[in-house]
This record gives sequence, structure tokens and C-alpha cells, in this order.
Amino acid sequence: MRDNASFRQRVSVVALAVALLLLLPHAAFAHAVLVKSSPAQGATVKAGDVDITLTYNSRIDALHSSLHLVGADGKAQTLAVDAHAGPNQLVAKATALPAGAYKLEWQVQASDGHISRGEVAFRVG
Amino acid sequence: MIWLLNDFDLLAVLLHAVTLSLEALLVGGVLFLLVVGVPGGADARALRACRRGMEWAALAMILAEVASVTVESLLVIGTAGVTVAQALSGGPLLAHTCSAFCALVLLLLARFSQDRLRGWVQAAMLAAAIGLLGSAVSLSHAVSRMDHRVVLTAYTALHHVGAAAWIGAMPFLLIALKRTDDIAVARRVIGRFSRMAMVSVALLIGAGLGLAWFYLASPSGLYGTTYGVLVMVKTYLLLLILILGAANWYVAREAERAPARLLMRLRRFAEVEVALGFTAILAAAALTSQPPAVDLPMDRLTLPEIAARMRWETPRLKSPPFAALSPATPIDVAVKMAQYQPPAASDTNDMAWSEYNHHWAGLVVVLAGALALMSRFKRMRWARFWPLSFAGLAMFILLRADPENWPLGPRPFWGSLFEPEVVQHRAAALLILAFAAFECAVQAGKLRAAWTQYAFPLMCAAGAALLLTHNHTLATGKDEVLALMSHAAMALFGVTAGWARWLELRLPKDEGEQRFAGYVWPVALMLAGLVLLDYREM
Repeated sequence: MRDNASFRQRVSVVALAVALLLLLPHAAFAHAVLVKSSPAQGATVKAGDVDITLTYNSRIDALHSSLHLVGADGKAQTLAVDAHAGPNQLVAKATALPAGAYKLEWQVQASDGHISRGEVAFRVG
Repeated sequence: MIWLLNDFDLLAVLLHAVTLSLEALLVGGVLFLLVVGVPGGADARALRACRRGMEWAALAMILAEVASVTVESLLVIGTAGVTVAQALSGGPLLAHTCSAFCALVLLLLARFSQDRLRGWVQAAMLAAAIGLLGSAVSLSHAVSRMDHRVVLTAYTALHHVGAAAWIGAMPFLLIALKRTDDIAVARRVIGRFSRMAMVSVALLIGAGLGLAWFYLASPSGLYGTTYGVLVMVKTYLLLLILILGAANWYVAREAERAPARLLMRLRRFAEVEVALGFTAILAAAALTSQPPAVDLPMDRLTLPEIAARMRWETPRLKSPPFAALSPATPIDVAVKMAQYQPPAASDTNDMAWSEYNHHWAGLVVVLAGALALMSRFKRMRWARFWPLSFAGLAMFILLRADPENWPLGPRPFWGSLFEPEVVQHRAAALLILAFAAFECAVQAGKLRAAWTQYAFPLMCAAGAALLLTHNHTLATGKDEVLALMSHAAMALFGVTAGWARWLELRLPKDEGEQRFAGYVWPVALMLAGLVLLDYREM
């Protein structure tokens, strides 16, 4: 009987812990903040090759970060990120871009391990 | 993979909170043994129990670090398109591995060392603790800064040492005191701990002020950003802990007068100090996932904006019709959009719907607090079934909290769980329902085991603490800060209510502090309800 009570007690504690863990909510995942971008948000750039530089408030790990260019048709291409850029920069090059609306979808991992995401919309014209 | 992305983000923050707590506990355990327990001549039985405690904490740390590596690797493999080998390289992964290794060393040392710790065991324990500390600091804001990196890293390390030597070591003081029969030994151990605690408080506060100087940089950084609000939360908790610490210091000095009774009070206050300390560590984990205020100079709240939002208005007790809400985005589109885009701004009806939910919930909480207060009077014992009001609240949350999802909206039950906010609401509804049934059974005398009484204070305090990291997905930074302010106030009242009830149950009966705690918690519950009643989204 005592064993059963003890078992029930342990199960209750575990169930409570699991429920509380489930409850632990999300913080805003915006640790590395984009402070400057080229092209800038809403800017229009010349057709052809476009140099891309995203600058953050903190050091990032370029190897664990990613950059996608999404065209007006919704198709995304992954851009190769320059591994030798500044410690707080994500640098890439998009080649032969025709006129149209684009957006850059970025994801970076800060040096402390936190991941942030966002996007920059621009036009090629 | 994208489907699980948000929940994995949630899990990563959760694991960070767990590893921060365990780091404080393990480093605190080592400091307790080396600075207090062994040189203070604590009983062998007490030291053995402390080492058992460290073993469990070390095992939990290893598991938490393995889970962290798994979750973070899956996140970057699934979203950044890196290979497994690339995912398993890099600074953060190295820090997790180092932390797990140090925890393993501590586990082995605690498991296999003899009662009187030899010199080399003590040195190895200290080295492992320093390794744990270094790993945790390397995952802090300081290392990723572009400026003042060395100074900020030093402040962060000192802040961690202060927290570990005070909050992390205190559970081991409780373990040791419980197994110490000799009052003279207990007094010696308490005396050494008090001296270590005073130094660690100075370190904690000094380093915290240094970090605040750099990360907040201005008064508006304190009141106008989410980072600043969380700093205020930590400050409130620190003040509560300091008040309890001061009470304990007084009790320790008076311990000769009535040792057994005063030591009991000291243990009860220390339990709450520990709990509040770990709540502060949870707030610290939420803080590390926010950008420091100094990096967000734009879009800050101003004092007039805060005053305007705090002004009391008549609660909204009439709901807009369901048909007037914005149409729900199909689940597959919502999942894709949630990856990179901030949420779209809510329209007026959506906000009115949310305010109506918060205001009715506030009324229920005020009612529960008022009934709990009334039940203290002999003629109103019927009011002791106040938890029943929470059952209605649970159903209300389940039905209305997420109108775009099942049961009201078109998104299916399982599909809706991609969004952490929905998962939280549903888990909260279940917890509240379970709690209402549980506490009613306790009040009715159907559950008599002593531990069953603690379900309410524990769930109230833990649920409120977790609220500190709850962010509504709002469109602008200012709205997020205002929402966090409401949540933080509710959380702090909830934490106060939970631990005041704990003290009422645990302190010796009919003493002044015990009676005082008995009035504090219903009032704190009502105040939390009033904050909900004043919640606004527009």
C-alpha cells in the first residue's frame, strides 16, 4: 500500500513537471538583431549582380547561418555565404538578377548559440 | 522539420533555463562543500547527502546538455541546411560538450570520493566547477558582443559565481541542516554559509550593476524594452530574497534562545529563498534570449505611453462576434510564414476578442482570491471551494484562447500545436483543470496526505514564474513590451501568492509570520486578477 502511494506520488510529481515544462513558453527569438542591410529594406537596386551584406548587433557563426533569396514567383535559392566576412556580418552575392521583387530570408546563429530569423524585401529594377 | 521549428525554439529556451539552474546548483554544491561543509566540520551524514544531491544534479546536467546538443543540431540541420558534421562543430556545441564533461567529472567525484574529501578531490571538484562556469559564460551575451567583450565576460562570470554561491549553495545548506542533530555544528555551518552568502550577494549585485550599465545604457532602456522589464523582474525577486535573507540572518543570531524552533523557521524561509532564486534564474534565461536594450535604440516605450496603458478602464465584458474576427490563415501557409516573418498586426476585433478573454479571466481570479480570503472566517467556510471557479476558467481558455484553431476555428487540433502559444494555452487549461479538481479534493478533506497540500502553492508559483517568459506574438516592439509588463506583474503577484501560501503551510502554526502569509496570498491572487482586468491590446 505504501509502495503504491509512493509510486502515485512520484507519478504525480513527474506529471506535474512534464506539464510545467510544456507550459514553459517561448521568448522572442531575436537575440542577434539586424542593424543594417545592403540592399536596404524596401530599396531598389540595379539589375545584374547584387552584393548582399547583412550586419548584426552581435558576433555570428556564419557556418551555422543561412541566406535564401526568394523571387516574386516564390522560388527560393540558397546563397553561398562568405565564411571570411566580418564577425557580425553575413555576406553573399546574388548573380544575374532580372528585374522584379525579391526578399532575403536570413537565419543566423549568434556566437552564444541563439538563433534569430528575419527577412529583407527589395526590388531589382 | 519546419513544422516543428517553433516548438524546437521553445525547447531550446527551456533547456537553457534548465542548464543555467543546474550550473548554479552544481557550482553552488562544490562551493558549499569546500567553503562551508568540510571546513565547518559538518556531519559525515550531511556531507554524504550533499554529495548525493550533487550526483543527481550532475546527471540531470548531462542529460540536459545532450538534449541541448540534439535540439540545436537538429535546428541548424533542418533550417540552415548544414551537414551533421558541420552542425556538431562550432563554439556553442563545444561549450555544451565541455559542460557535460565537467558534470560527468563531478558526478564521478561525488559518487566515489570518501566522506572526508581529500585534497586532490577538492581540487578536481573546483576545476570541474570552473569548467562548468566557463561553459555557461561562453553561452552568454557577453561573448557575442562586438564591444567591451572582456569586461562584460568578467562581469558575467562574477554574476554567475555570486548566484551559484548564494542561490545554488542554499539547497545544500538545507540538505545539511536536515541531517545535523548537533545545534553547535548547525550554528557553525550557518555562520560560514552566511559569510559566504554576504560576499556572493555583493558579487551578484556589483556585477549585475556593471552589466546593467552596459546593456541598458539609459533609463529608457530599463522601462522601454523587454530586456529592461526582465531586469526589473529580477530586481524585485532579488529584493524579496534579500528580505528573507535578512530575516534568516536575524533568526540565526537568535538561534541560541530556542534552537529547534528557530532553526525550523530558518529552514522554511530558506526554502522560499531557494525557490525565488531559481525563479530569478528563469528570468535570466528569458533575458539571454532577448537582445540587450542598448541594441534597440528605436521603438522604445515612453513614460507617457506606459502611463496611458496603465490607466484603469472599464473591463470589456462583451465579446465581438466570432464571424468578425480575421479569417484564419491555412495551417501550411502559417507554418511557412512563421519561419521568417513577424506576425501580422491584429485588427480591432481580434484585439477586442483577446481583451474580453483576459478580462473575464481576471474576474475569475479576483473572485477566487476573494473567496479564499473569505474562507478564513469561520462563518464563511463554504468559500473554501474557491478552486471550483478555476474549472470554468480552464474551459474558457480551451474554447476561446486560440479562435483560429479547433474547436472554434478551421485549423485541426494536432496541426494547431505547431505554435508554442497554442501549446501553452492548452497545457495551461489542462493544468488549471487538474489543479481545480485537486485543490477541491484537498479542501473537502478527500486527500489527506501532507504533500497534497503543496500542489496549489507549487503550481501557482511555477506557473506564474513560467509566465515571465510568455510572449504574445504581437506586431510591434512597443506592444510586446507592454504585454510583457502585464505578464511580469501577474507573474510576480502569482509567485508571491504561491510562496506565501507555502510559508503559511510550512511555518509553525499560529505564529505571526504564518498568519501574515495566510493573508498575503489571497490578496496577491486578487492583485494578479486586477492586472488581468486592466490588460489591453489597443
